Order: sequence, then structure tokens, then C-alpha cells
Amino acid sequence: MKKIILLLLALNFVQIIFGAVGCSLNDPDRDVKRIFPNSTGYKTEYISIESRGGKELATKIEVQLHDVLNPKYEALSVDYSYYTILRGKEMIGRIHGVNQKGIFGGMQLILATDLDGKIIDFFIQKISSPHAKKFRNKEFTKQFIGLTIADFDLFHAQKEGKINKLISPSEKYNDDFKSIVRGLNKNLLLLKYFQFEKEISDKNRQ
Amino acid sequence: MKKITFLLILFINIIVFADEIIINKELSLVGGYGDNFFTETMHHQNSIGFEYFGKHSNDYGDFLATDLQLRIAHNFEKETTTLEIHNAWLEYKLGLGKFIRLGHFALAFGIEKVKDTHATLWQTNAMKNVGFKQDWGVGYRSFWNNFDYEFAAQIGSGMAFRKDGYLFSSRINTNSTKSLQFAISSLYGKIHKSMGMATYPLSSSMKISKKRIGFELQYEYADFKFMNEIAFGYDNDTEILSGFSEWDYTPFVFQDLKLIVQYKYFDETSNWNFGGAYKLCETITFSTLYELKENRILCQIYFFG
Repeated sequence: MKKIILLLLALNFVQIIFGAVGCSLNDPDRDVKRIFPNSTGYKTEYISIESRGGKELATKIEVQLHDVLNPKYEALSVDYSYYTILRGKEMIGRIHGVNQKGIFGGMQLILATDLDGKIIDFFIQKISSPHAKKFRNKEFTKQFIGLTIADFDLFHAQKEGKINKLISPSEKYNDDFKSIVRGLNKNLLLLKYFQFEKEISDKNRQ
Repeated sequence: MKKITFLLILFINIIVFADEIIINKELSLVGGYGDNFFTETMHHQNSIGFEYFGKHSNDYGDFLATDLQLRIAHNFEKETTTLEIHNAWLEYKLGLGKFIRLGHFALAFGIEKVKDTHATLWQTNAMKNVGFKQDWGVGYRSFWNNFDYEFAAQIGSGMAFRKDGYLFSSRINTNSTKSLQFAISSLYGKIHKSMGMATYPLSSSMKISKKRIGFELQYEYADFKFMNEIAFGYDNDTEILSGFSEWDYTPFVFQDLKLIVQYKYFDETSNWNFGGAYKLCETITFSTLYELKENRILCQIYFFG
């Protein structure tokens, strides 16, 4: 009986997630070491749209994404993995990924961002495409370094900006390029609502 | 049974103190038609279970991961109900990219390591090659440049808990995020000869000496995926050759569907399997498999979420 009480008490202090995890890193330690060579560790968190605002948050994201979330592949219950990168106890950045439907199947788009949400690295963990090599090429992925959510907002406002200047590595499969841009936009929007808005509301509460 | 109960309570107690917990329920319903529908393997049984995964962290980051995944399976032909432990492990982080694992976990051998077929009709040759996919013991994994490597020292018992065997396995693979991947693995031990045994109740088993070396190649191109494995070695003094090939095709206009063809070769016996899997929704998949040699068709509805 004591064990059951202990178990129930403990369950009150942890974050419990029911359901599958969406896009997580295949090999987080390798990626962390490569992108943040000075890091000493990282902390993993699983966050879903459902747990951070549900339908209301989904609507906000859809409005800013200028597209609807696919109920099968972008369900609100899907958890996204967030890796907070640490040097000692100090936070030095984040790594976070999303799944995105492409022409030939699902893509996994991973971003590393600094503390202000600026992209410092981008790589494609999974892609099904005859031009997969071109999309994975550093020449293509490095174009996204330095972008923030503000650049995507500018793009949707149909103003000249960095997004308009991005060059697709494949004319034939340009729709995959468009999907990557959409996926990264979604990734930064989730970062904004899952991390930055939470930090602001936590500060206000204090 | 006391040992198993003790281990389950220990795992649950450790997991509940995790900082992040993910709980999934799973249900597998299998039906089919053929000359010999029911088999000894656990994959063609109806089962219900759960997975309970936890991450422990402190101010310096994650330091421990825990996983408990078990199910209760029912065999309608024999009218037996068994408890099957799939995962029951703790993984302690020794440093960035260095992990030590303790408990019941996958052998460091073969393509089964990356494919994890515990819940699907589409099996590799792991059950024929070894007799089980996971075992109790200790393991270590890390990476070097573009290679991942791991070693495991286990008790050679599979799901059950028996002491008088041993099993050593190791595997090195190229970066798992690349379209083209290679791996080499080996296995050596004296294990309990079994096929789809349960954690409880225990079945009787005899021991067999196993040696294997395996090579794998995986390639992904557009909407095709190819997985190949060849393994050879000895069961006692008998030479064994095993081959496995799987070709997956996801039609780009209909990405919820995956068409699958398998070719399996083991100890001078070959078999072709045909079928596919259809994702009904985020949590439910419908699969079908036709086994040419047995002239048997199997269907499965699988829920995980």
C-alpha cells in the first residue's frame, strides 16, 4: 500500500505525456557535440500543442503559418522533442525538429537555435527524394543560418526579405523546397510558443 | 515469478521519479487464414500492453533514461496467456555520447537492432538466428567519427530469467542519418534454445552454442527503401547461413500506404512475403502479410498511442 501511495505522490511532480513522440533526434549526443562543441550536456523535454494551449494555439500557429496543420501527421497530441543545450548549468542553445510531409514521404527538419531563436544550424535528418543529396548539401542548408521567425513573417506579409532570396537546390522537385520552408516556419513558430512565450509568462507570474 | 515482480516494481519506482514520462498503450489484434495459421512465434498472437518511458535530469542535463514495455499475449489455439517483457532497462549516461545500459534490451546484433519488429507481422530473421531479440544483461554504446558502436554481455535467456547461459554481441554501423548505411555485427554465446518464449510462465529449453557474424546494408532512394542482411556462423557444429532482404515502397501520391516485399533465407529454406501497411490514423495501422511458402495470409490492426 505504501508503494502505491508513494507512486501516486511521485506522479504528481512529473510531466506525464500520453502518446507518441513526433520528431526526435536519432543520435542527440552526436548532434549536440557537432553543433555545440563546448557543451557538456543537454536536457530533453517533450511538448505538444495540446499541452500548451490546444486548439486555440493550433489556430494561432495556422494563421501565422498561412496553412492548416494536417490532422494525421501534425496532430495536436504529437509531442515535439526539445533539447536544451548546457555548458555546466548554463543554457547555450536549443535543438528542435519537426516532421514535414514531402513529395516522396516524411522529412525530419532539425534546427539548432541560439537563445534569441536565431538559426545557427539546420540539417535534414530524414528525407525521401531522388535529390536527397542536393537537399542535404551544406551549400543549401547554410542559407537558413541567421534566419528568425521575423523573416518568415516578412515573407508572409509579401515584403522583400531573406526568405525570397533562398535558392532551391532542385528545380524538378521544387515542391520539396517549399515544404522545407513551411517546415522550418512551423519549427520556429513552435519554438516561439513552446519556449519564448512560456518564458515570458513564467517571468510575469514571478 | 518473484524476481520478475521485484524487477517490475523496481523499474516502476525508478520511472515515476523521472522528470519527463511518456506513456503509450498498445494493442495488437491478429487474424488470418491458411493451412497453419497459429505459430509458435509471439508476433501472431493477440496482445495488449503498455510502454512507460522516463528521462531523469538535473541542472547539468539528462543523466538517466528508463523504459518498461510489456504486454500480455493470448494464444487462442493453445488457450494460453503469457506475460512478455519487451523493454525493461536503465541507461546511465557516463558522458556526452557514452552510455551504459542495464536490464532487458536488444542484442547488439543484426538489422533487428534498427528495425525493432516486436509489434509487426513483418519479421527479420532474428527469431530464427537467435531465438529471441532481447535479453537480460549489461551493454555499452558510444560513437566515434561517423561510426556508432555497441557491445552487450547478456545471459542468453531471452525473455525468461535463467542464469546458466551467456551471450556476447557487438555491432558497428555507419551514421544512421545517411541514405546509405552499412553495419557489421557479431554474436557468441551459449543460449537457451527457444522460439517466442514468455517471461512468465517459463517453458523448458535446451542450450545451444551460437556463433554469428553479420553484414547489413540499407539504402533509401526516393520512395524506396532497401534493407539487407546476411549472417553466417554455427549452431553447435552445424553451419548456418541466413539472408534477409526487404524492399519498401511508399507511393508518393498515397503516403499512408507502404507496400512491402521480403525475401528470407535460413538454413537452406527460403520464403517470400508480400503485403503492406496502411496508416489509418496517427495511432492505428492496418497491416497484411501473405507468406508464399506457408500459403497463409495474416492481417493485423495495431494501436500505439
